Amino acid sequence: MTTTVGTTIEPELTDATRSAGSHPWKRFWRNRSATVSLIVLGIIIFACFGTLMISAKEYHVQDLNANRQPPQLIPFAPFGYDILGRNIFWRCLFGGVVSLGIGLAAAAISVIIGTLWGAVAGWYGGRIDNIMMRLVDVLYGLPYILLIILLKIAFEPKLIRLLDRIFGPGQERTANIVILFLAIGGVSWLTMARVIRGQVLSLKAQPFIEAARALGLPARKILLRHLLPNLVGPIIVYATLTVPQAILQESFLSFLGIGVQAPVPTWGSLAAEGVKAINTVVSFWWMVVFPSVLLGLTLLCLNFIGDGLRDVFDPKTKR
Amino acid sequence: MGCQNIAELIWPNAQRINNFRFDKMTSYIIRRLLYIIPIVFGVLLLTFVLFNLVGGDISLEIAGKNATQETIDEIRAEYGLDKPLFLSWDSQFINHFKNALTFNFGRARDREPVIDKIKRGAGPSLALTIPMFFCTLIIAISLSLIVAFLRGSKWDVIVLVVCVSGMSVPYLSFILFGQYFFAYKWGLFPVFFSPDLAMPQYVALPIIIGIVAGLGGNLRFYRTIMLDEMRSDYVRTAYAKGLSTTRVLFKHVLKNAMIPIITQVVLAIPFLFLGSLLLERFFGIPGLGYLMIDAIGARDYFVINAMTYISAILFVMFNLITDLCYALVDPRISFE
Repeated sequence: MTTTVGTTIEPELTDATRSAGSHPWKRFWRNRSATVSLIVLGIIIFACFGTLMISAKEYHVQDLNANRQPPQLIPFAPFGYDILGRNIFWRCLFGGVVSLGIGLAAAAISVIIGTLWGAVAGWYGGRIDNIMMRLVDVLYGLPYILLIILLKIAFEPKLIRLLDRIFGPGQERTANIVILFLAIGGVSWLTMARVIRGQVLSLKAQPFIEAARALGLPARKILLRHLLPNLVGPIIVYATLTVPQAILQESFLSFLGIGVQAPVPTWGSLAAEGVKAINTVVSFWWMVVFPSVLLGLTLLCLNFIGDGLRDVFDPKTKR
Repeated sequence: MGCQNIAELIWPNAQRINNFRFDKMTSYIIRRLLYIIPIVFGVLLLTFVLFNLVGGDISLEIAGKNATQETIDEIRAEYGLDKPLFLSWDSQFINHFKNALTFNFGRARDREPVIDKIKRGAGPSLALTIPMFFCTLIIAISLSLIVAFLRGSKWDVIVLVVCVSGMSVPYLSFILFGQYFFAYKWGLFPVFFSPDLAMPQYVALPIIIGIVAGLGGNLRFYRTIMLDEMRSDYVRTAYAKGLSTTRVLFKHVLKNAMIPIITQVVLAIPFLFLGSLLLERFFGIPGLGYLMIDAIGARDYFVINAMTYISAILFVMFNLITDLCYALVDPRISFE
């Protein structure tokens, strides 16, 4: 029955009769700033992850004769050297891997926890919703920077001990990065949970969900088959906007000296290190400018892509 | 709603109905005040669990690596860490709540009571953040009205691109740029805090930098709100009945945009209290942000604990105020 209806209607849906909403990706590609951003971001990601084999070896190699050398092509150091004579080019590329990794990890955590949390709260409603959303309120009430610091203080020593027991001693560096991943991810799912809950509440009232319930589908099937596909839009948009936020938060922590610990670089900590090297007599501009520009450019691209996606998925913000 | 209609039937007197609404409002306020209790309880529980159960023994860290058992015991006694965790009226758990409710946060690492430190830091921090916040707000709202009015034009696109670029520039760059050019190169402002400077002197440049750095995100946010309003039917009606553009913008759009703006503003106020971590650090302003950074560096749990608790309390209070503002501004909101 349904197949026959489908086949008879399908041919009539030409480009002219379809609504703008049925061509979401075409609308995205028409957005010039988003498309350009996607290309630029692709190049940055490719450069960072593609050279990981080299940069992972080179980022902490010190050449004390080359310390504070300005950018030069021979030997190959287009971004110059830092105070300890390390090649900033390789440090920027490796730092990019760490920074982008933190952003992606935060987005992944916020998608998983935030979506589940919001969907369950919105779907079951009543007391469950009340308790779950009050918890989100409590966490919202704490400034995120304090929350990250609390999580770091509380769990870092434990994690170091745990990792030491599993992988042998000397796991501080790994533990530090893992804690930062988790702490930044742990504060970034709150917005996602709120958005998804709102979406679920409004979807729940719509006839197709009512129909699915009337047909006697179990809640799990309704959530997975009918609600989730309708939530993909907001999930993608907010996940994209979580990535730059997480990268910014990490750089913020690095500027304060409590981010990823040396010698592992991130764009934020590279810029902060560069600032320390500046004094009133000589300014080693290359130590600050290159990581800052990379950081800014990446954030810019991610913000534009997020905006483009929001225009695609949320018809309300159409121009 | 149903109740109100019945009330109207029985007492067709407007004053009575207002009283009726007022009574409902009082009970709503009381219910919302009761709501604060579980949230504050949650925050206190969270900080207790994080510091005491998960974080491990603080006294070992305070004493340092080479401390004798005697010193450790002394420290434990001083901070009340020798008491049982739970299951006693004098347990650490109960004391954590008692101290928080009486705003007794103990002494920091340098023996000064935490509350004194916070009182001292609040002045410079608020002198920095309050002007910064309200200047940003006024500039962002007026610009967003203009930009939303010119939506889709060349200027709108330019402003949007500038906003997103501004949001993407690392905060540190703004600080460095401002400090280098305005303070160091051109000598318009002091480069760094020093005790003999008057407050307006040393907060001026940080305020300007803060406004510039925060404007992009704010402007974009308010533009979205204004655009939502401008697409509404009532705006078309207002134009159709021949109102002037200024009248539509200021009398109708701005008024209706007030609800989301109030939410944003009131909820941002408690965070002003925290000061600005980066600005205070890089300009050496002795405010609460600086206190926090010091505390994080020295692992001074008592200061961090106090700041967490106070900011959470403020946030909950202002959350309540937002809800009450809604109720006052928007008569459609019911108090069920």
